[in-house]
Amino acid sequence: MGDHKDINLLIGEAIRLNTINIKLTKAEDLTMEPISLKADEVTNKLEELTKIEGYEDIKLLKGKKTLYCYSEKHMTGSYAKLLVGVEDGDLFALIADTIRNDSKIYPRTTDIKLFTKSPYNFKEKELMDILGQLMKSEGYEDIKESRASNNALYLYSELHLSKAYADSLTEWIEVTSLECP
Amino acid sequence: MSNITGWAGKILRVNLTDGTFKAEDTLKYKDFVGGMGIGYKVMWDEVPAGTKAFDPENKIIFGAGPLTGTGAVCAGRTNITSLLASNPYNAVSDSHMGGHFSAEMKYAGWDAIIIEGKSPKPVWLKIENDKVSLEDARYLWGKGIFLTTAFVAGKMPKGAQVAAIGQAGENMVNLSVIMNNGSHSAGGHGGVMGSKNIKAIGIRGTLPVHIAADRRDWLEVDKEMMAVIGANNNHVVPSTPQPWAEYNAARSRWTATDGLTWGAANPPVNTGTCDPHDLNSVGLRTQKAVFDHGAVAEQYTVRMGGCHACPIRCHSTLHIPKLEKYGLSPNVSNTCVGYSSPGGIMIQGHSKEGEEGEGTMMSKAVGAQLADDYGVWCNYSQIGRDFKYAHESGILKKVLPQEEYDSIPWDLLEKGDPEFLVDFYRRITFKEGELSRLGEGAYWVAKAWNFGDDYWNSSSYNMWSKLGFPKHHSNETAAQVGSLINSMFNRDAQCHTHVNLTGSGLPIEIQKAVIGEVIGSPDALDAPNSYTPMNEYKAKFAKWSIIRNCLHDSLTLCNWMWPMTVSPLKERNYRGNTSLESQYFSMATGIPTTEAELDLMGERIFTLHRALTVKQMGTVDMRNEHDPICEWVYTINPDMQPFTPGTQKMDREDMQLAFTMFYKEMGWDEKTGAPTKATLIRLGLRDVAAELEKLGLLPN
Amino acid sequence: MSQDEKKGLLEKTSTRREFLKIGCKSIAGAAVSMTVLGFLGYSNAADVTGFPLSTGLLISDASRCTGCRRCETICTMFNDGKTDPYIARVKVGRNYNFGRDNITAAYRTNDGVFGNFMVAADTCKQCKEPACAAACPVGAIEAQEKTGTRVVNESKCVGCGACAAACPWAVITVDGETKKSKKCVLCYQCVKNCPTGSLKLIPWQEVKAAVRRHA
Repeated sequence: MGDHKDINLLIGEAIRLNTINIKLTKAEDLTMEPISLKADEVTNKLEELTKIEGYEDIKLLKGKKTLYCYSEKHMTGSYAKLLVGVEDGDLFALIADTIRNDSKIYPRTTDIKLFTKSPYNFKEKELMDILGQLMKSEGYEDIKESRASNNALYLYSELHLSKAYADSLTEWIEVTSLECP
Repeated sequence: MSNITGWAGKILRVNLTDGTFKAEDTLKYKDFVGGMGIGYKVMWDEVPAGTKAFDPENKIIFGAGPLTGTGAVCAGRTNITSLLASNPYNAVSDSHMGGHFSAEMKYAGWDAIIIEGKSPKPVWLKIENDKVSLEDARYLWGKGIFLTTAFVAGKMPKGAQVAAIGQAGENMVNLSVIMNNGSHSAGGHGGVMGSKNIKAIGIRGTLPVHIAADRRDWLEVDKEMMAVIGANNNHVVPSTPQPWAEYNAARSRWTATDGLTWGAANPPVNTGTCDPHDLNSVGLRTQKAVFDHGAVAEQYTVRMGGCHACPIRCHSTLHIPKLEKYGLSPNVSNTCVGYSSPGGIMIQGHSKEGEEGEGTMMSKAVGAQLADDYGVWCNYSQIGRDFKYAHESGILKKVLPQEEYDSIPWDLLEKGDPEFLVDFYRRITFKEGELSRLGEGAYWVAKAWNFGDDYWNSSSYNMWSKLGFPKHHSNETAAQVGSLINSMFNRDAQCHTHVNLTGSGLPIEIQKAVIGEVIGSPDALDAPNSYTPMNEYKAKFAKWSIIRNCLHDSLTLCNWMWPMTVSPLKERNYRGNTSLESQYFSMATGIPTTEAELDLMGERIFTLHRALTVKQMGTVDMRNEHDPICEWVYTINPDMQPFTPGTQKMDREDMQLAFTMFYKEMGWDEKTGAPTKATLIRLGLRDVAAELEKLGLLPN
Repeated sequence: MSQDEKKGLLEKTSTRREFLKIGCKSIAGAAVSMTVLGFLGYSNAADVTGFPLSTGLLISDASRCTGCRRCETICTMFNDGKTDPYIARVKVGRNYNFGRDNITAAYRTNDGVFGNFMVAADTCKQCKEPACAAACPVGAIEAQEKTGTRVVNESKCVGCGACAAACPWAVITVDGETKKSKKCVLCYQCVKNCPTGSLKLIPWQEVKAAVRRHA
């Protein structure tokens, strides 16, 4: 094993470089050359690192499959969570979390076209299939449809928005806001 | 050398009747800041009540301010003040244009240009620093704005800026503009220049603009400004998820993303991620062509453009070879309503030819270029809605002589062929036939053609006021706040202070917290489409919004960007810096001025506007004669009640309370909404109070 | 330098004027063409005589310039403590409406905002054999020792304007207030503050590499 300080720098810089390139670093990435940590050392090493001065920007996110890291200097936590969601592959959770968050904090309904954009990158047909399944699945009963007058499809969570409210927001975003430039 | 800084120190007065010029002292108006402030003061002092827009007794004031031309961020606006022909009382209004004209005024050594009288023959005004002359414009009269600009610029040293009217202004079409730099137009006053026989102003300046402060202090503020600035309309979150951002919002104008390009640039320019800390990508944040026209416009986008000293670049420039089919240049530029309004004249839709969205883009591009060359205004898109109403209600068929009606290319309109616009704009510009009455503006059209109540009372036609202007970020924007703002001027309110915040893309709790810090309580702002009953903080928010708007038009700064209420920076908790106007003002002029002191000057300017309106309307009863809102605002969403989530339908009693609270905030009479003697005196407008008193126009 | 030698330089420069105007349009990105390099005196990288070379070449990429003129205002605020586009060491306002050349009947399709929207800033080329320096009767234009940047020594400058008349790019100007000549000193403020990254400093290494690629 190399010098302790060098290893920290190697790991930190690798994470930061990946983040600049809009990539998360997975725990298993750190078992590869040149960092070459042992698989069972990685988690401890990372948790240690985040507490060291000069590495406060290194953040960890637990996904369903593995532990992810990123540098907060180059990526926000919410974006990192999105990437984790994409990596995790739990598509229902990924979509529903976005919709629920939108309905709660802005508040607004969610244009489904958002999910065809980066970092979601769903293909349209694939997306419609997933949405169809999602809205029939247990634990996602709050996810509802809201159509604009031009038939554009938006989704919202009825945990946070009533139908009337949601529909008014959809119409505003999709149609009327464009009429008031 | 003069010790005046910020301001140039001189105002040019041009008498067209006898062809004389006078240099006057700007500092006579220093309590009114500049721009709009100077405009309103001159109008008050020198233009008698009862004057009409096209009378020789009317004056037109081109105003720059102490920040114009300094390079202060977004300090490139030209304010133009005069009487507005489309208003039933021809009441005072201001129009503004972006571009570089006002900066050039400052470099020539002028803070404002007052034009009075009427020239016996067509002239253009030539200004090279302090060399001023009236030039023969007989070969320009009848020409469009583009050729006029080229001609005038050709007669002046390189770098000259030109403000001109087209044939619409010459013909005193009420809805006409004054234009500079090809796509930056000021609406409603073109005819005033036309009535005075002045075709253009060409100006070249080679002098410096001085500031009082040390350059290092100035550049520190510049650094702060560039740290907090957002994208177009000061939207501070991206429209798609970006690694640097916690939030995003589909309708944000921060549209940059990897792969979205200025497609017709050589080589194409990738807008990219646009991290807010990157100073070299601020001008890439808003791909305005795609925002205004849809995805189809990316391939035609040459670059963005805009005003002097502004890093935002909110005009799109397009190269569309198909435009040549209509006898136009393939090169067109504009932004927002400059495109959407011509598009709105195609009341039966757009051609479906070509790619998706191409037909709509063509309508907008054809119409924009026509309007920009003829110099036709639109009353904030109302001309298209007036046309729509008149046509769909059958009124047009009634009021147009049969021969004229048959001569209109209805088939082109039906097909969505923008060739229709070539015909339409010509008629408006040259006052051909009865259809051209649309160029008089909504009030006069509705009167002459006897528009029904359904015009005024239907939300489809956007009419805000019986004085003939439409809504412009009104009840749908912060409910009572937007509604109050929209009722205060003599044309559509051109205030974006409030809508920049509500459209910023930030979550509502952050917006409320921020405005709470500025106004005094987060109750100043409601969640979108879910508003609550009136409270005093909303009145304060409306007041602050307008005051800042007036200040910006006087300093001159762009109110589509300022104030810096919020910022894109997570590390600042998205706080902006609302003291930047006063910091810039203090540094430029050398007059230490706090945020509150500068706001007071804005209050003075806005109250003067109110006093002018009272004088010109001959009544103190602003509440019932000036401020009322068209019915639809109270009757939309018939199945819903006000104050419930899902509607911005207003409540009559609540709005009357809103007006009362607003009048109170302004120190105006709470019953009538007219400025009181006490307030006028408090604001240093004793002479205004005296004159109003003499006219019996002070509230009891 | 003798009067004849100076005159020779000036004549050489003025016959270059036409070529240089064409050369202007070929400056885009890092791929500075051989032709342009040749006009600037860099045809043979090894052939360094007279002034040492400067740090690099400041260019304005016309595909990205949007004519905001922030470069002009920052330049003079930083260097002169006032806003004075007339003496800005990078000049774009004069090209804004109708491009660099005189207005013609084809103004709707030529350069500029009334035409094809192409705008670019005129920048000091830090010429290998600067015409401004050669024209100066008191030798006030010097090359900085470390960087080679051509600068005006204000203690020597008499404000005669010979430099301004000689510069084929017309980017050096005499300040009407101080009567001193103002020229680009590669302070980088314009580059740092250009909101679209149009203004770039191409380091000499990359310029030399472009020469090698084209040779």
